Amino acid sequence: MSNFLAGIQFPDITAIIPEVIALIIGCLILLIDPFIPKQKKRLNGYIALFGFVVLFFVTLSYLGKSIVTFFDMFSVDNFSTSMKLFFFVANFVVVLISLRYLEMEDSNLGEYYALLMFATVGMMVMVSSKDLIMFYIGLETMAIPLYVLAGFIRMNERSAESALKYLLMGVFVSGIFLYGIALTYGATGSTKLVDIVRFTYINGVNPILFVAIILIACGLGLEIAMVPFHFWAPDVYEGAPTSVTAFISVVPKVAAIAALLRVYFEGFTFFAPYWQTVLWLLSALTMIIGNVTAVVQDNVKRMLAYSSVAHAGYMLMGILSFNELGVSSLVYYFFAYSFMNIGAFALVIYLRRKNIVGDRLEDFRGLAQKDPIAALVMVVFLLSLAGVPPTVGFVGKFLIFSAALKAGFYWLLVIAVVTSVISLYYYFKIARSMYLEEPVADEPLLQPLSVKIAIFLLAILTVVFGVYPTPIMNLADLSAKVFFGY
Amino acid sequence: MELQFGSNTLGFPILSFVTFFPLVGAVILLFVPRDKTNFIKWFSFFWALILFAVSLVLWFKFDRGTWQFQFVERVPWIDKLGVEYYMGIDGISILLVLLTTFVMPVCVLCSYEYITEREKEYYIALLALAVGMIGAFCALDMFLFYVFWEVMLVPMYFIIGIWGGPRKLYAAIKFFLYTFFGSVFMLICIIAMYFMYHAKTGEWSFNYVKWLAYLNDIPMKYQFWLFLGFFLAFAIKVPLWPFHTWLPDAHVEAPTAGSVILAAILLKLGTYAFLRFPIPFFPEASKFFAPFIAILSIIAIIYGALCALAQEDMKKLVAYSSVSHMGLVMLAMFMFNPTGIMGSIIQMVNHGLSTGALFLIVGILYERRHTRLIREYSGISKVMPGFAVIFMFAMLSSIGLPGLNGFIGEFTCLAGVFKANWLYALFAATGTILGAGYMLWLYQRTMFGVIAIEENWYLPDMKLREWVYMIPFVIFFIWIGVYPKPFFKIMEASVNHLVEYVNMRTSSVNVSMDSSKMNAALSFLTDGKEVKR
Repeated sequence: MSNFLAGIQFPDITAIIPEVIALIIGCLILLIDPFIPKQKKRLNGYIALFGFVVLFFVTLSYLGKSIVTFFDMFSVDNFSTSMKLFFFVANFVVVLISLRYLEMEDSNLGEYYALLMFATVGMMVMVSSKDLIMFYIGLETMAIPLYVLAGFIRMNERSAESALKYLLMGVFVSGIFLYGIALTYGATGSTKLVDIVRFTYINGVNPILFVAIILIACGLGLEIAMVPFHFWAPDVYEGAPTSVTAFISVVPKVAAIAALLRVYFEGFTFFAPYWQTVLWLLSALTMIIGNVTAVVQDNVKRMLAYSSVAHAGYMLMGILSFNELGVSSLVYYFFAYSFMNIGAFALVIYLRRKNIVGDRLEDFRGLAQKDPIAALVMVVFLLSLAGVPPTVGFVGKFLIFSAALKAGFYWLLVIAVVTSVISLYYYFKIARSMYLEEPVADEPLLQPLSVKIAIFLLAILTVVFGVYPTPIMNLADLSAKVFFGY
Repeated sequence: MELQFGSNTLGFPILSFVTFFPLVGAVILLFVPRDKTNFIKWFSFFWALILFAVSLVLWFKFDRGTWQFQFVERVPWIDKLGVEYYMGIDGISILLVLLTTFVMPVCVLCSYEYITEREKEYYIALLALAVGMIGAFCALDMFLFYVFWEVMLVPMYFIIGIWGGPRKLYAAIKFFLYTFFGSVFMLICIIAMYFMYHAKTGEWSFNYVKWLAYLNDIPMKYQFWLFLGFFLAFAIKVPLWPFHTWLPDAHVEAPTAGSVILAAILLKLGTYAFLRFPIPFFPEASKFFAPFIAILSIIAIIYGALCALAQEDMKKLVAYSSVSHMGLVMLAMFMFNPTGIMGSIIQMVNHGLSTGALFLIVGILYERRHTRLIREYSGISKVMPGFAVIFMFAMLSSIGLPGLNGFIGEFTCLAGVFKANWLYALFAATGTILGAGYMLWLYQRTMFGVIAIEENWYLPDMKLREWVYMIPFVIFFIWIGVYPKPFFKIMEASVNHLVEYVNMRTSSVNVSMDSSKMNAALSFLTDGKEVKR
């Protein structure tokens, strides 16, 4: 706070060291990629893996620190730090499942990992920013690599289509987001969250800001994939390379939710009852439409797309609860969601073989007899997604529901539990295919080692943190203190 | 206030051992090659047998003089949330734990020839199921209880879904969704009580004993909704009319062992949970809802019996008879007198034994003829005399013939109901008459008469393996029928304490349906602002 009044000061560069490292690694991959022979392109992936490990430990050292710098626009606090840690964990797994997959798709290019890095930088900026313009810059830095990644298998029509769809929707919605920022600026004279909250504290609520709040939710709503901005999700998820789908469905979504949380909590604190109502409606619709539409899907990637829409609805409950438990449950849910959702997509990659994408329900048929362990692992992920104990998804749902209950949103809670029963039905359509139907004779499974490692890692995390959730909960509590710790 | 968490005089965590011993077996089976079916079968059998033998320690070491929890284990589990690993049993749960461990080896044994494919997964699922069931009976931490309660759905889903009959896919998912639907509402109620406890004491805990001690003055308007949440979860499990529709499907499609476990244990979890949680937590609401539950139970008794009369499929007949019998258990329980509650507990055990035996009997016939239609059988007693004797015992036990266990249960239940309300008892007694009707008629149609179908001439009588698992049932039928005292003795202290507790809590409260109370309860819906932060 102090440097706000002190005029122009040299910003504290230490705050952005992780971002700089990530950028350097991204550029490094681009630089050395031309010198790597085609058969050894995996090296890029290993660099990215190593990079995420380094970033994880560098960022870990920031835990507990609190720096606000760059003229109050950039903040390092426990919330942003734990979100960054989350990005690195999730991205590590995403790279792990991409290694072999890209080879199978014959598009093993270094750009993939570089783009992943750049998108990560964008997200890191997003969760750290305390200024609407910074949010926008982060959002775009994240989004542009994502458009490219969605169309990464150039020769595949579906992939190209999904990239274009994603781009058009993204550009449209980012315009809305900018409009929201403009209105906020017009009403308060600043884009900084501290100024906005100070302005509304002194001058009371301004009707223009009501509009701005909705527009900002819309702008972030695309990446969150909440209703009514979810239409792109199934098409893009289905068309994009599966590893990218796993990425898009988890990491950018979480980043956008974290950003929304910060904007609402720190910028529009005094509008809480208003945006709680808005989010109530959006969350209810998201849960209902996501879960109900998923029931009729036959394509697993589409089904998981709608399921990820539905999970966005559950996560919005964490924001609209507007209490400490809400934030900590949300952070916990982020981790839970990444384990189980990336895990489920990793299984689709695991089934990828000659001429088979592995995303139809039939591809799962009889998996329990062909590969019992993989089928068992998938059941773990599905149970977790549906919120059945003893999995990490259950603890996540439990915490989110607790937060909503504490805030008194009883009817939303009823919608949430009823829709989670519906979700069990379609998740278990996959289990039914794997266990209760006979296998069809087709191409043998490839069982790539790196994917195997990834799914076992995720399955173990899913169960271990379901039985012993304390470590993640400690981290989540630390981040909740940022908003409610005073 | 001194909290009675109970103690463990044994000095050995026997409840954890009994709960997780099957899990160890399941994990070992995971590493056995799948073509060694014989080894898998016998391993599972002996594993389950050891489980039963160990659980007998509970019977011998149980202190019958106290109502407090015994064999208690308390370890912090998730500190942040105040979740404990808290296991313990009292007179209400011990018989059901023993029933579970008794049924397990039988279920393994009766599957030897019925299950002919994917045996390895089957026995793993069976053992995993035992973990959830025993755990749910022993758990005294609400979080822990919910975990066990949900965990057992998954293996049961697979047992019905993989090894079931023609409509197995439908039955399996229906079972799963129904029970899951109920339990999520219970979860919300648990969370709500968790916050109430925190608001009252400033401590985060799911501990059953602590909740009972400090959450003893929940206002009626909250009790009303909390009770309904728990009620939905447990009524679906029992299943009480009109929540019973999953049961005939699940029973008919499940393999024999699945049906036995469903009837003997899973349904009991519903009634047990009613006794354990909603009744002591919300005595006022329980008494308020008692007339409604009584009416639903009476409908279940009569409707179940009438449906059973009309069935052509033997398994469906037994399934509907379960609905009828469980109705009686519920009715007796909600009369809130010691006789009724003791009757309902002993009737839970009896129903587990007799209906389990009946499902085994249907399974024995099915293994020979691959049909369960009643008209396919007649005069079977001529070719299978030994079988006819066992069937007769099970049938008579089910209809409550004096001298066998069913009589003791039904008599005590009806006596308890009569004490509270003679009109209920009148209707409930109709159910037992109808019960005698459909059972005797079933027996007559299948066992007596002439053998009309050529194939039935060549049915072999019971094999040694089948005798081995049917005889213990007969022993229990006679034991409980002739000398039920040990069984009543073991539950007496706990039941009396429960009834005293409930009556103490409700003695000062007028529980009749008065409109102001109703309005208070419903205002909770419309007047949401008041409770929001």
